[in-house]
Amino acid sequence: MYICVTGNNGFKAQLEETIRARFEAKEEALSEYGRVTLKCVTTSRNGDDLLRQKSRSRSVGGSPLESPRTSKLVNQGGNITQGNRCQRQRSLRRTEDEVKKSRSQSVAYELSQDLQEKQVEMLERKYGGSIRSRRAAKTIQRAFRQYCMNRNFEKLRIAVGERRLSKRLSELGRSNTIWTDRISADSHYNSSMGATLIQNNGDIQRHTDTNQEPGGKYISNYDATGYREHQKMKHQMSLDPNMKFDPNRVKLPRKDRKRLERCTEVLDQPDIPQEEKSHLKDETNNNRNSYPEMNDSSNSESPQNSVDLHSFHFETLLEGKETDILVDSFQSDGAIHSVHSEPMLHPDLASNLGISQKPSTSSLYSNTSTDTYDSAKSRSASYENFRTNYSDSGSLGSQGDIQIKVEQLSPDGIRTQEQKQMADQTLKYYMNQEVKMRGKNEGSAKKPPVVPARAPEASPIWKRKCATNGGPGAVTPPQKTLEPKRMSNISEMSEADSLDGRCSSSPSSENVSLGGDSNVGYQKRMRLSMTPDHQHVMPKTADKHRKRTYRIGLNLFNKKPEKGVKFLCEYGFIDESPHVVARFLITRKGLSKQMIGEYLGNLQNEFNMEVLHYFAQEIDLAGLQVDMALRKYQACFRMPGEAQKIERLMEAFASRYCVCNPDQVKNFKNLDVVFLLAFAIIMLNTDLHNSNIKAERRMKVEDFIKNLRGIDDGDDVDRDMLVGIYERISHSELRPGVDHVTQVMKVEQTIVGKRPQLALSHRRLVCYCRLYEVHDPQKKEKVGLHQREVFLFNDIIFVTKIFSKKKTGITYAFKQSFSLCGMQVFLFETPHYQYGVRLNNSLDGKVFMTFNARNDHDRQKFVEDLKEAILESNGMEQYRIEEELQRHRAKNNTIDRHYANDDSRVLMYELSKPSDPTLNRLSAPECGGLKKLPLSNSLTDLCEAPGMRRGSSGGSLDSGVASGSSGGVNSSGESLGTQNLQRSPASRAVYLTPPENRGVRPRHPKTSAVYLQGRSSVPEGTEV
Amino acid sequence: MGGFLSKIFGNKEMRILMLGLDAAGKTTVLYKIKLGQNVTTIPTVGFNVETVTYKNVKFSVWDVGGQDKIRPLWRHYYAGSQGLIFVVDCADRDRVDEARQELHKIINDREMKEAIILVFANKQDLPDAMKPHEVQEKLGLTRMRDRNWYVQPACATTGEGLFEGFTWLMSNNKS
Repeated sequence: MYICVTGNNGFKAQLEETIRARFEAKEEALSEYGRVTLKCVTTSRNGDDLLRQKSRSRSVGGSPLESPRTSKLVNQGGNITQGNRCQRQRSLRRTEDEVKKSRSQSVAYELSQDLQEKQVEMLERKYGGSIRSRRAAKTIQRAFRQYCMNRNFEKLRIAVGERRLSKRLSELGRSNTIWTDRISADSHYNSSMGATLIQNNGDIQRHTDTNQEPGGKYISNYDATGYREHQKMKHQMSLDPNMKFDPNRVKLPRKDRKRLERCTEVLDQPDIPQEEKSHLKDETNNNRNSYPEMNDSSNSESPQNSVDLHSFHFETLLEGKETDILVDSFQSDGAIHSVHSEPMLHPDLASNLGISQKPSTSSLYSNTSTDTYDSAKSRSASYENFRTNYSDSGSLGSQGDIQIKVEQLSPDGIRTQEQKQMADQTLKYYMNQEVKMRGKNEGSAKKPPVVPARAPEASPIWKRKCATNGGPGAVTPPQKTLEPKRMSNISEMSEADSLDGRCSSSPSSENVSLGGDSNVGYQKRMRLSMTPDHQHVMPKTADKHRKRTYRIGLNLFNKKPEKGVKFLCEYGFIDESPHVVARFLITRKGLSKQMIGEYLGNLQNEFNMEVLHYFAQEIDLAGLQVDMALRKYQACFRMPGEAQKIERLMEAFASRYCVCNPDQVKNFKNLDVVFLLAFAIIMLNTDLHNSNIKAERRMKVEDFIKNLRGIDDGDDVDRDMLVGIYERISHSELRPGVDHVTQVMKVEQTIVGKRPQLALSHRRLVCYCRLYEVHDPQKKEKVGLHQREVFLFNDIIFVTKIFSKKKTGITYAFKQSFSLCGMQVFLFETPHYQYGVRLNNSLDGKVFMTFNARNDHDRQKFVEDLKEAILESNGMEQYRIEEELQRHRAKNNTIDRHYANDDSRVLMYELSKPSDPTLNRLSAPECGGLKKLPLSNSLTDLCEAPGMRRGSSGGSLDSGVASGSSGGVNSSGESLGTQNLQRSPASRAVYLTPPENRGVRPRHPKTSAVYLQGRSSVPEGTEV
Repeated sequence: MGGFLSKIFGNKEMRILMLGLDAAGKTTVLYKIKLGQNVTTIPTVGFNVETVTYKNVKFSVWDVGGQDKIRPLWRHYYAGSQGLIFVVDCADRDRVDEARQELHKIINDREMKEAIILVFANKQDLPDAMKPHEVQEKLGLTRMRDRNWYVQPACATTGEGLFEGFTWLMSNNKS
C-alpha cells in the first residue's frame, strides 16, 4: 500500500488498518451497487474511490501525506453523518468483521482489475465525463509531482544544511520552546469554544481585511461564526444562514459578554504591544480553562454536536502527529486555502440545502473561529465537516451538486488563483504577527518561520485536498470504528511522548543505565525529529497541549479513578460508555494497575460494574486452564484486597471463562465451579505467598483439595487438575502486570537513604539525567565536581548522588527532592558554567537548585522534559484548585439555601462559633435572623476553618470583589495597562491562574527576556 | 520452655477473621490499626491479610466475606480462628438486617463455635448513626447468651474505638 506515515509503528498500523477497512467497506458497497436504497451511499463512496484511485496512480512517487489524511477524513465524515446512518448501520457489523479479518491478514488488500476499471468508469461518469475528470486528474497529478520534487529538494537541502545550522537551530530551539508555549496557549484558547473566540476571530478577520481587499467572503465567514454563536446562545432555532453577525448585537449571557468585551478591548487597543496582547489572551484562555462548563455548553447542545467536537479534537491530534515538517507546511497550506474557499462555498451550499435546520451543523462553525496559523487547520476540519454534511444532508446529494463542487475547484478558475494569493498573504500575516511577537519577546528578531516560502507553489494541491475532503467525507465509516481510532490516537501521544518515560539524554551522552538493568528501561527512544523547526513546532503545540491534558487525565485516574474517567470523558478522549471505558482501561498505557483494580472493584457504582463486564469480555481466555486464564485476567489490573470485590471480579472472570472455554466447562455440572475455583485460587495465592502468614500454617495440597470438596453440586472436581493448579500457584505466585509504577518502584529500590516515598500510583518516571550541581555560578570549580543523578518524575524531581557502583547494580544516595508544582526553570550561562539550569520556586523566587549540564543537548532535552512535567503538575494543581472551589461554592450554596429557608439554622450556625469575635458581634441576639440574610455569604466565609479561607475568598469572588490573592498576584508588579482589566471582570481568572501562567505577565516591561518572571534577583538566565 | 519464653516475650498469636457487608469499613479498620507498622511495598495478590502486633499479641486479621456460595471455602480458616470481628455500618439502617443474617450464618458455623465475637459499630461519626445498644439489638445479639460477644462503637477513619476493641479481644482470648 501507499501508506507512509512518519509516526511510530503503532500509529502506522492503525492507519493501515483503517484504510484497509475502508477498502473492505467499499467492496461491499460495490457489490451492492445498483440497489436504489444504497445508491447515495455508493456514490459517495465512489467519491472516495476516485481519490483513492488518484492517489494510487500518484503513488508512484509516494504520497506520504494524503493517505493518512484521507482516512482521517473518512472517519471524521462518518462520525458526523446522520442522514444515512440507518442505512449504514446494516453494513456496520459486516465491516467490523472485515476489519477483524484484515487485521489478521498482513497482505494489503487490492481491488481486482475489473472492479477497478468499473470504479474508474463510475467515477468518471460522476465527475462529468471522462474528458473532464481526466483533465482534472492530470492537473492534480502534475501538481503532486511538482510538490514531490520540491519536497525532495527540501529534504536534501535540509540534510546538507543541517550540520551547519544545528548549533544555531538549537539556540533557536530554546527560544522556540518559550514561544511554543505561548502559541499553544493561544491555540488552546482558540480551540476552546466560546464567545471570546468569535470576537477574536472577528478581529483577525478585520485585520486580514485591512491587509487585503475587503471581500464579501469574509462577511459570510462572519455569518458562519455568528450563526454558531447565536445557536449556542439560544440553543434552538433555525437561522437564516446569511444573517449578518454583529458581535455587539448578539445576546450573550452577562458573564460571557463581559469577557467578550474585555477581549475586544484588549484586541482593539492598538498600542498594547503584541506581547501583552498575547499574554492577555493567555489569560482569557485560563479563564476559559477554569470553567470547563463553559466549554461544555456547546457540547451539551446535541449529541451529534459533541461527537463533532470530539472528531475535531481527533483531527487536531492527528494533525500534530505528523511530524514531517513538510507535511505540516503542506497541510497547513491546504488548510488555509480551504479556509478561504469555505466562505465562497458556504452561501450556496447553505442556501441550497438549508443546513441551518440541522442541529449538528452548529459544530461546523464551532471550529471556524481561529486565529493562528496552527488552528487555521481546525477550519479545514470544520470545513470538512461542512462538506460532509453537505453531501450528506443531500441524500438529495445529486450528481449535479457534486459537479458544482468540482467546477468551483477546478484548476482554471481565476478565483482560485486569487484565493491562493489571499491565503498566502494571510499566512504571511500570521507569520508576521508571530514574528512580531517573538521579536518582542526575545528582544532580537530571530529567523521568521518560513512557511509561506516553503509552501509549494502548486495550487492544485489544495484543490485536490478539497476534493478529498468532499469525497471521503461523504463516505461514512460505521461510527464504531471511530472509537478505537480515537483511542489509538491517545495511545499515540501517550506512547510517543511521555508514558514510555523518555530519556532526556541523547544516545551519545554516556548515560548510566540504571543499575545496569535494562528492565528499568530508560528508553533511548529518539524523538522523531531533533531539529527544532518553526513549522514543526507550531502545529505541534495544540497537540502538545492535548497530550498534556490527556496526561493530566491519566494522573487523575491514577489518583481517583472515577474522577479521571470523568475528566477524560469531559475532554473527549473517551466516550462515556462502559465498553469504551473498558477498552480504554485494557489497552492504554499509563494507567496504574492498582487503580484499574480499584475502579473495577467499585461495587457501589453501577457504571463501574458494567465496565467490569465489558472489561472481562475484552480478554481472550480461550484454551487456558482456569488458573492460567486467571493469571492472564488478573495481570490486567491489581486485585483489590477486599473479599467482596474479589468475589465480583471473579464472577466476571468466571462468566467470561465459560464463554471462552465451552469445552472445558461442559464437564462441570454447575457453572459456578469456575467461579469457586477462581476464588479458591486467589485464596490459595494469598495463603501461600502472603508474608503475613506463617509458613507452618500455609495450605498443603491436601488442604486445598479438601477445601474444594463437593463444590460441583456435591461432586468433586478432577483431582489432577487441582494438584496442577496448586503446583503452578505455589511455583509462581500471581502478580499484577507491569505498569509505570513498577518502573518507579525499581528506581526506588536503587535509592538508599531517608527519602520520601517514591512509588505512588500517579507517579511516572519522565527522564533521568546526569547533571552537575553548581553552588556558586560565579565561582569556578573543577569540572565534574558534584555529579548528580537527577530523576525527573511527573510531579517531583529527585536529586541523587551515586552511592556505590557494583556489579549487581548502582545504588544512589538521596540528596534532595522538589515538587514540580510551581517550579520555574531558568537557563543561564556564565564563563564557568556554560549549560546552566536553575530551578526556582515561582512563589517566593527562592532558588531550589542550580545545575550545569554536560552539553547543550543534554540541557535542552532535560529542560524540555522538565518544562513539560512542570506544566503538567501545574495543570494538576489548577484542576485541584478548581475542584476545591467548586465544592466550596456548592457548599456555600447549600448553606445559603439554609439561610434562606430556615432562619433558626442561621442562628444555630452562628452561635456555634462563639469564639470568633466577628461572629459574636453579628450573631448578637438583637440581630434578627432576617437581617442577617444579606450577610450570609461573608458569614460563611468567616466560619470556615483557617485552612479553607483561601477557598472561601474564592467563593466570594462571585460578588466581584477582588480577592486577596488576586491582589497578591499583582501587588508586587508594576502597574500595567492591563491590570485593571484583569481585576474587574476577570478576578476569577486571576485567582485561578496557575503560577505558570501568572508568570506570563511581564513585570518588568523594560527587560526583554521572554516570560519575564520578574525575578530580578536572577539577572542572568532565561526562563523557559 | 517454649511456653515460658512466649510468656516473657509475649509471643501470643491470634487469628482473627473479619467480616462485614461491603462498604462497612473493614479495610479501613484493618489499615488503620496497621498504621505505623511496616507495610510491605508490594502486597501479595489476594485477600487482605494483615498482622498487627498490639500489646505483645500478634493478631493476624483476615478479610473474609462474600456470598453464600463461597462461604464453604472459608471454612478452612474458620477452624483455627479464635475470634471474629464483625464490622457494621451504623449509618446504613437499611442493610442492618442483611448484616444480621450474615453474622448469624458465620457464627453458627460448626467451626466457629469457639470464636469470640467483636462487633465494631462503625461510622459513629456520621449523623444518625445507630448507637451500640441499637446495633446489639438489631443484630440479635442481646438474646445470645451462649457466646462471648461485645459491641464496640468505633470510627474507623479516625481510629476511635479500634484499640479498645482489640484490647477486649486480647483479654477475652481463652487460650
